[in-house]
Amino acid sequence: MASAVEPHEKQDCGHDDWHHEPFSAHHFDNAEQQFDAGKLGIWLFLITEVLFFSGLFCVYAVYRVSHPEVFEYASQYLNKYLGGLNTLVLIFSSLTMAWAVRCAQLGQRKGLITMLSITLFCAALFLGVKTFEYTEKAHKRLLWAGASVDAKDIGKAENSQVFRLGDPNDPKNFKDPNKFEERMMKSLVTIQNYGILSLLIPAVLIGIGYQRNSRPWRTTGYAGLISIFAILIGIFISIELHNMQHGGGGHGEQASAEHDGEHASGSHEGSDHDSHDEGKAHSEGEAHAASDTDSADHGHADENAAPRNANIFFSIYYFMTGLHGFHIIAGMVAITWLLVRAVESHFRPDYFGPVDYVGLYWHIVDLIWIFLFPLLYLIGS
Amino acid sequence: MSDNHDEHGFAHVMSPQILLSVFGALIVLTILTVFLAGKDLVPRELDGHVSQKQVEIVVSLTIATIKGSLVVLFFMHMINEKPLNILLFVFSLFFVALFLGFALTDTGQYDSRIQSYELDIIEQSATP
Repeated sequence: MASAVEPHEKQDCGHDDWHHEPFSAHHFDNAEQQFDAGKLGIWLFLITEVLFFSGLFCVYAVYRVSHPEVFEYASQYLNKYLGGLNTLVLIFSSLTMAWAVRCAQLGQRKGLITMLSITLFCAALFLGVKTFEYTEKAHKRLLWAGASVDAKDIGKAENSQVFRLGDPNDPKNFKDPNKFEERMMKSLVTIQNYGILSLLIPAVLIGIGYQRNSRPWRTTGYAGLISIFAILIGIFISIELHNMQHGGGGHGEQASAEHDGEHASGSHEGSDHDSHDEGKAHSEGEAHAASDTDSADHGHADENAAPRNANIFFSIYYFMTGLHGFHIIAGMVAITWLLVRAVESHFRPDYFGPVDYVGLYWHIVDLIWIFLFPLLYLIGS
Repeated sequence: MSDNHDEHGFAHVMSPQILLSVFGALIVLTILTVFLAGKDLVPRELDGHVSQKQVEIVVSLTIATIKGSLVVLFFMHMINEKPLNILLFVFSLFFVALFLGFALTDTGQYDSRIQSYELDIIEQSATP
């Protein structure tokens, strides 16, 4: 091998000193070979990811073929506008990630840092919107199959097969049913009010960075700051969107004043009954018409109307979106790593592999969401 | 892609025009698929032959596939990729297709047994 390598090395005159570069692995001939090896590796990993997710898509397909009614019924509880917003956010983050790869290839350090930061921001925004969606569903008892079955009922088929939607207006499911919507908003408003405290963690990291005069710590803190801030913004945006859809025009305006706290929960006190009972009539604007009919179904959804085993839709929903969300978190960790290295000026036109690899991973995560979105959110709405 | 290939031949740089137009196309397709959801998409001459749901899933998955191809081809640089990597990726899709295809052809196979089982249950509950 060594003899075959040598003439090649001499040909490659630009890279004579390649083996002395900081990130060259000595077992590769040159930068390109190292890059290609990494690329083959990341493609192999992405293939395992595709096959891994295909198991879940298979579950989805088999179940949808055998029980289409479950999907038509249960998907009305997913908000296609929030899902669409998340799709746009992820597509935008894919653009900025592709642009970050471009910047790394051209050796533009500032551009790379900016693009990675925006990508991280979008990733966290996505998680913020998902936080709202999961919270809302959990409060409506839209959980995975068997989640709300009492321990004593386990094993009795008839109980696990009932679709146990905690209807907002059903006093059986909540101790204080009138406050249902308010309670849901409250837990999110708590995040909004006190979530700001979570900025402490990145602040500490940045502090450590300054104390030790260590840029990596500071960059990590900065990445954490972006992420947590974006998650809070994501939650805030989804609450506003939710208010706009459920409370008609006036309500949205009221709550759209930047804060939130008393507004969101307070105004809900008054109007959540409207929105769930007779308030449908004064829904303004054609844009909201569709979603209002959705929520009308919501309010009046009858437990008896639910098909058998409807909770299995939510099992699939939580598993697929949860696994996808886990991939988003992993991607955020990887992007933070890239940010640290970008700030340290590690990447150059002949060494941009890591950016490219993480970029490919990020696009696969986006790709999976592109298929999840219509399959989960856009069924018979 | 023109603005590179200077010294390091192995970097395939995507031009901003390509990136932005792919992004624009993805956004338009996303809005289109949300807009089409819930619309009556069945052509008049096919009315009664295919159901709304069938058309809907075909349309939304076609749009998703177009979006996915755009992402893979341009954002993931598949158009400039090494043949080996392309082959690997296509193989993975092939195996996904095999997996889903075989699983789906198998699902209907036990319907008769399930139905007879369910009939038994109903009979049992009818005769206390």
